[in-house]
Amino acid sequence: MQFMLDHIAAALVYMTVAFLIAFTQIRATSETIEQTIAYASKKQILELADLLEQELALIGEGMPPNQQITNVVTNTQGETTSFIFWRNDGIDDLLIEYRLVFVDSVTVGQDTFALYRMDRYVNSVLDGGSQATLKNFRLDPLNASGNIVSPDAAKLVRATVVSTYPLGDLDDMYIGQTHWGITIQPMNLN
Amino acid sequence: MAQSLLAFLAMMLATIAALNQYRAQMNTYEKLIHSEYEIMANAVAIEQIELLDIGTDWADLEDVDGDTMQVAFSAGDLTVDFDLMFAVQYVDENGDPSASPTSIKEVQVMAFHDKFFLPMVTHTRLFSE
Repeated sequence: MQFMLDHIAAALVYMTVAFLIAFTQIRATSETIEQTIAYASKKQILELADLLEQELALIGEGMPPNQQITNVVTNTQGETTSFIFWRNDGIDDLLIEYRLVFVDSVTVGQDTFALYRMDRYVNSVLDGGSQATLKNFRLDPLNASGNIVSPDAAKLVRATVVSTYPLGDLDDMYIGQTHWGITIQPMNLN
Repeated sequence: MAQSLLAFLAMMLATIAALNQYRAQMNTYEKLIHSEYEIMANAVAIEQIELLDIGTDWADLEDVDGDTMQVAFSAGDLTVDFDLMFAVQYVDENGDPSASPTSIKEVQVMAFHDKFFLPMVTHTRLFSE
């Protein structure tokens, strides 16, 4: 009888330890994957931020005063669907458009939201843009008091971007978000 | 007796490993959240510095010294409030604080959030006369 009890106790201990180790390992793997996805999303949004930060500062560069920001279109959700401005790269006049393109509607749990991609056009030719993971994208022309104004009265441009990434497993998925924003004072708007 | 102790030790070690892993995961989430708040705080602090730059005369900059204000970062359905604190002082050509007036003023904006004890970001800009 004692012999049997020893074996049962040993089996119980073994199973408990094995379960704990396996559970820890699975959690560690899952966490590593989530960190990698979050890092990749952050890297993507920072690449977009880099593009916006550098190019928005050059709005109207080398152009006459009436050729700076020419058009800003906002959809009913408040996202900027088109932002058009002029700049000169030292050789040619360039008409740049940031065009927000609806990609898909995503439902996670109770929430449904739209995913967008930002396409960048130079003189009507597609030239770069963002990944199709944007949840929010706004470019607001601001006056000296920080209020949103028409493009021809703009002194500053505020950019706000939110990118999303999936987390969890298929049965229990949720959405991570990474944010970025900046307000730029293009020298040629003053 | 020895077998029982070994079994107990094995279970204890496995439990400690699981707890450590859980704690590391919590730390990662906290850092991720902190980083998001930092980026949002950065956005609102920079905006206030730009607004000061184009909307305030150099002679009036010290009027904002000690001012505090609450500014929100908004994106889609998310709104996060930050408390901003301004400090203005004269600095010399090397950027060192100067007790007597110079032609350069240093404006510092610190952004705080209720969740965190320390400032999320601190931005400094020099304004010349």
